[in-house]
Amino acid sequence: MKSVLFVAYQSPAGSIWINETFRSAFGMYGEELEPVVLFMGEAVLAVRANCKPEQLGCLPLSITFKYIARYKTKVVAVNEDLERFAIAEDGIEPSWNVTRISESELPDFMHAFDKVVFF
Amino acid sequence: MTLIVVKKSPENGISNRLLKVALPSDTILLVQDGVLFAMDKDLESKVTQGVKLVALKEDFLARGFSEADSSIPLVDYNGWVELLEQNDKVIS
Repeated sequence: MKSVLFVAYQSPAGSIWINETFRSAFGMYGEELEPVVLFMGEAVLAVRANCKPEQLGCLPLSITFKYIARYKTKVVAVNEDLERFAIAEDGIEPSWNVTRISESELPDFMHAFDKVVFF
Repeated sequence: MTLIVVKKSPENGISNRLLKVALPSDTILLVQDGVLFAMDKDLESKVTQGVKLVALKEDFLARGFSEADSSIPLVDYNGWVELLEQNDKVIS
């Protein structure tokens, strides 16, 4: 089983990349590939409970929740980015089931994967 | 032994964070607007010691620079293929 890390780093409002990251990750199941999704930079805004890109006519992020739950897709967010955008624990949407990682852990974390793709 | 491919310009924050992810046995290849990093004479000091830095010659020249303008070695497309073969993982 190979492991693939999908890194979203662009804002969820006004760009397709958060949904595209998960569309690609979910496509890995059935193959011998285990996907993990990492939010860095402005992409961490996606985990906010009231982040609703659909208000701008974009795809809702909530369409991923059913599959995250079904596949138990691991979602990780960088601590320093969450703090930079003032995202507190009680402001995070539980459906992401997000775990945290610190900036200093990123080099080893990324090198542990067989493939890393930035979206 | 990981090849890290940087595509975005120094103006884009994610590129600088990618540089910081490199570990001593890695190679960083700058392509597309990432080649603009090659203008920085202090680039070597901004990555972990032991990281190899190269830029793609075709992209660098296409942006109007000459080879002498680069602060790091340049490789061509064939060189890129060799880097892919030499490294067992890719971060891009």
